Amino acid sequence: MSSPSPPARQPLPEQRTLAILLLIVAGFAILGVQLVWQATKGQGRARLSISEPIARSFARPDIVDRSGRLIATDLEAPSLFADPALILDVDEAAEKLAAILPDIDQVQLRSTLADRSRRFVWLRRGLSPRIAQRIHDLGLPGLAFRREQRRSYPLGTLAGHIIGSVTIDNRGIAGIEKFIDETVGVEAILGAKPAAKVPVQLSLDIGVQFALEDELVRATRHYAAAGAAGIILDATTGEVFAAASVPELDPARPGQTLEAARLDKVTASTFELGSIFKLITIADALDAGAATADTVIDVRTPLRIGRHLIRDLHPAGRPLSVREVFTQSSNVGAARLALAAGSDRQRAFLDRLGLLRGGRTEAGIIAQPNVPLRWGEVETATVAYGHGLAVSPLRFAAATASLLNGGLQIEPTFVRAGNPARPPGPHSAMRVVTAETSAVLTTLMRRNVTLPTGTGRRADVAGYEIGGKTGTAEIAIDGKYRGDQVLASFVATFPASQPKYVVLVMLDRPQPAPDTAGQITAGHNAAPTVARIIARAGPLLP
Amino acid sequence: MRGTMTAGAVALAGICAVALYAVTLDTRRLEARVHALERTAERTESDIVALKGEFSHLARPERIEPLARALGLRAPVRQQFVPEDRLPRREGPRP
Repeated sequence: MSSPSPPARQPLPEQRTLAILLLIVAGFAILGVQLVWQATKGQGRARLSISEPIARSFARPDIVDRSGRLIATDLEAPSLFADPALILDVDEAAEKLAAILPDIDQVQLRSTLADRSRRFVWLRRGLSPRIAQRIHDLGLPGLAFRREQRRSYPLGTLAGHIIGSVTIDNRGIAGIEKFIDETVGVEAILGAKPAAKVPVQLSLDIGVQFALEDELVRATRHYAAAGAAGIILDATTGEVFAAASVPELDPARPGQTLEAARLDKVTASTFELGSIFKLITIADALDAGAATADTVIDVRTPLRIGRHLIRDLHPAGRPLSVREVFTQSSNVGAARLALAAGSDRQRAFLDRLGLLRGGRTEAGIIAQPNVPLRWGEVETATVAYGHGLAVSPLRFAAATASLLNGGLQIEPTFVRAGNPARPPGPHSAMRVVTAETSAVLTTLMRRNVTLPTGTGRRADVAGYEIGGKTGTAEIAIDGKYRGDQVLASFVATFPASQPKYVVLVMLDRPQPAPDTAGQITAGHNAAPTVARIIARAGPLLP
Repeated sequence: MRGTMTAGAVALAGICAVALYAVTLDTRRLEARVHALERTAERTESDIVALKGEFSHLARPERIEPLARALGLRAPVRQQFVPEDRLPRREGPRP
């Protein structure tokens, strides 16, 4: 007889629990080791596809003029993208899309749609709602839309050079748009959320801006000029009411900035501005006490400096007072005044007025002036009447404003005071000339317009008390100045009894017109252009 | 007694489950409504921006000025403005 076998020994409950716990811990340990191994080696087959960052865009604050009228805003627009992995028939999709978007590169489109390794690819951004609807109606799988913020300029090309432009992602790349990115800030968004920031209020007035641009375009056509530029500036605050460069620039077409003719002539270019520089020369002489308006200067004969001969366009044949040097625009008289002052004082005065430096405004960089490499006697004499030193028109307009507003230096700005985008300026402005010198200069400017023999007489507009100075600078081509290729400019201020506005107009290579008696000098083209601008924009100015 | 309590507890649990389901359903409905309202607000905001842009486009000086001239309007001239101190004085009514 066999005895019954003893029953199998059952593990204790505590042991079972411990075994299960160990199993769980072991499982997690294996997972942990796997994770560490994957992380360190990084050769796993797993691939994380991140496509969203490329769909990121930026919301920008609106740009408005000084009266709050809209200049630039973000509008919601559909953008078309494709998921090539979901495209059923690449040829069909490409053909149907090309029928609606005729300018699309079909070869590139086919290649993009055929690349099934990609899950997100933009096909066209910023579509109009009508085009988007037509594409939607095709019902092609693998195509979809995202709503995005696109920059819109409802005023077209108006103030295009000032406003600048943005990239396809709504980032500012030029002008005020770039200033917004750098100073005000933009918001990175996914989708079409509008910006919550306060609009950037410019000092521009779109009515004045249009009047200026329209008159410059008309003048360019009438005088068959290669281009034109103009500025209307507040002489006391430096706020720019209007600034234009012709040919215009469309902010919605950033590619136009590559065209040399469309380069901003107001801030980004420098010019030898000619006789309007005599205002600076005479201001220096008056302020230093080297001359008064009645001081007589011998201009009977041309001035010879080495091998250079400086002569007047219309020699007076008699000595002229400083007052007459200004109104008759005598090169010899201005050169003699500058030579008496010397090159050091001339440079110091130009530097004080900001004419020897570039700088920047909210609309971009102000071009560095082209200064003579050697500043000897000849250069001192030629700079006195605006040759040999090339400055940006904006810098010159600001210097003129500083001379005529009582003598306090101003810095040009495109953002209205009080807007958060504009930091508060210094409490006290630097004095560049005495109030007395400023008053004499204003009187000279006014005389040049009211005298029947004044070169600026065609700039007069009844009721505005305009004062001004003409400048006709020969343009250097291949190192030689040519008398038939000139830059005609006119700088004006009004009302002369208490200068509030400064206007500068420049015509690039104007040609004789029926009303200029065969002349191409500034008195015949730039001066009447300024008169038309002031007559038209004057009532709109604040 | 024990059976009654069990039945009561089951009934209470049932009521709670129904109430919880109702609250969840209501929350989802309200969430959907909030989302719909948010979408409407976004759409309206977008429409306002588009209308402002449209207004600015239609009111641009390039378009308005020819229309104004066609109506016989012209820019005011400086002589039309007179300083206040040059205005002729008028005697007010005697008290």
